[in-house]
Amino acid sequence: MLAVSVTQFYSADQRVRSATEDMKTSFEIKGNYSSFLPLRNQHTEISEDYQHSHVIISESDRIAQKKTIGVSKPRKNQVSGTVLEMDKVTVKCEVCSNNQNRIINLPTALFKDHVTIGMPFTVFLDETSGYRRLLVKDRAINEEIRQKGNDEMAALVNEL
Amino acid sequence: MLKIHFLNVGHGDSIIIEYQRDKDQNSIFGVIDSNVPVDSTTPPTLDKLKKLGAENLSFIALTHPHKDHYTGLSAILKEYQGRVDRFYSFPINAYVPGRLKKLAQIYQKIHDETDSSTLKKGAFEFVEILHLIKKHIGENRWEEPNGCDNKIAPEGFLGLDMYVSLPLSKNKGPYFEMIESGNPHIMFHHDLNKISMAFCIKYHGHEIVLAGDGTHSCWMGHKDHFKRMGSPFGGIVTKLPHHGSKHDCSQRVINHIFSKQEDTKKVGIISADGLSHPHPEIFKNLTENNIHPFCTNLSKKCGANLMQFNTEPDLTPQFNHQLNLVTDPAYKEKHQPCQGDICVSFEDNGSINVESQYNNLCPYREAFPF
Repeated sequence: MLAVSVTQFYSADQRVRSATEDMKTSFEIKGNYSSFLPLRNQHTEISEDYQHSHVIISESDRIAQKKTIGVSKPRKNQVSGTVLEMDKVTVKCEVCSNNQNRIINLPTALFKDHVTIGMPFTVFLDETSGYRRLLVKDRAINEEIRQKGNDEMAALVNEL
Repeated sequence: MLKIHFLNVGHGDSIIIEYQRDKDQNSIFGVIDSNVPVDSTTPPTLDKLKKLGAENLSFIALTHPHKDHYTGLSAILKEYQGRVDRFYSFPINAYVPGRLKKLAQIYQKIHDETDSSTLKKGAFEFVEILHLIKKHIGENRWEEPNGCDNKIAPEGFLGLDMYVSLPLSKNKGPYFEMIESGNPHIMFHHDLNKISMAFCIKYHGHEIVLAGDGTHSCWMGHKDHFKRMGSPFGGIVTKLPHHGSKHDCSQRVINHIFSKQEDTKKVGIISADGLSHPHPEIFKNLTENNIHPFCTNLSKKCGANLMQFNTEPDLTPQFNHQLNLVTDPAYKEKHQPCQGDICVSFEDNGSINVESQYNNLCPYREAFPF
């Protein structure tokens, strides 16, 4: 057996697609195409004797590939938060990233003139103008969280 | 014997004053401010009070209404319900009818209109503190001392002199205006540092200054007052104002709040996590004045800014890069604190001892004892 990488021979996408077509044909001959996962960097084992007619992917490799695909989450180009405090230069915000609340400082200029304490916002990466820049837009408030504890707060205030 | 415990609570203040007048008497305790670090569930002040065996509290003081000074205070008030003799606070004029309610209603508005957990929690706790104090300590034992040299007399502290050095009386007005006008910025506004209390304790010839978050202008006003009076002022041990801010710990402020004896080595306590404070430049001011810094947590120069926000795995590299360009790159959450909890003891014979939890060596000072 000879271990080779598909990308070793076909670096460009088109070439990989072309190679995939070759392999597809070969699999169709063997009737085993359903288990094939075309990945650019996958390492496949090709029999030295049957290089052009057999592509064998070991079971462990296939499981590993499936796992890799399963855990890769789509990454985000935005993060949502709430304004905590601000001055002329900096807006201190609470943002939720990776399911954790964090406090970061953003420049006041990002928010233009409409920044207020408690303002819910989303900061996102805008590429529509041909270059990358951060923009801030209003975020819809989460009503369920907003209403939490309001009755207890009212009771405390009434007793003062 | 007098012991002052400066607790490591990240960026914030938590101070316990422990006083034992005679060896055969029980210790008396007072608490100034409280903060709970992000990774803690219970207030470190409460844990420490229990360890020290505090049955009652002579006083609790809240220097000013910023979250890094009042978080965890409600838990302490609940635990010591009916066992706190006095409450000292920044000026609210709590005895004016309807004043407390107006203040609480601003926090209620913020609480009810936001879905931010930080804002909700902070607003709720502040109102809860006002409620607990009014209910369990009472308005008669709620004092709002201010001025440059206002002597206070908490129960059991006979034998030492305790003064309130700040806020300046003239700074009360703008805060009252914010309350009356329902200004929502009242919760976080940095100008609130102008109403921060500061304490001065005199014991066996030593002066200790606990400077709260007093600002440069406040301390300059204080300096003018003492200059006119012709009285000396300055601590041999001082907790630096506003967590070692560059502006509020300027050379002029440092000169004023520390003892003027040039041959005496002084101790400067800094209670910040190194992200926004303390400013690296203040260490130069300190070393030039023979002041030896003890940081409860970290300073930026000592590695506090090693971890950055842009390590988030669920954001694209492009977005992380842009975010990192505009955010404070000093965000960090896991670190080794430098000194940890610090205890400064003043013996009856006049000797001073500084004990710290970790006792790491510091490039800005000699190892203690000097």
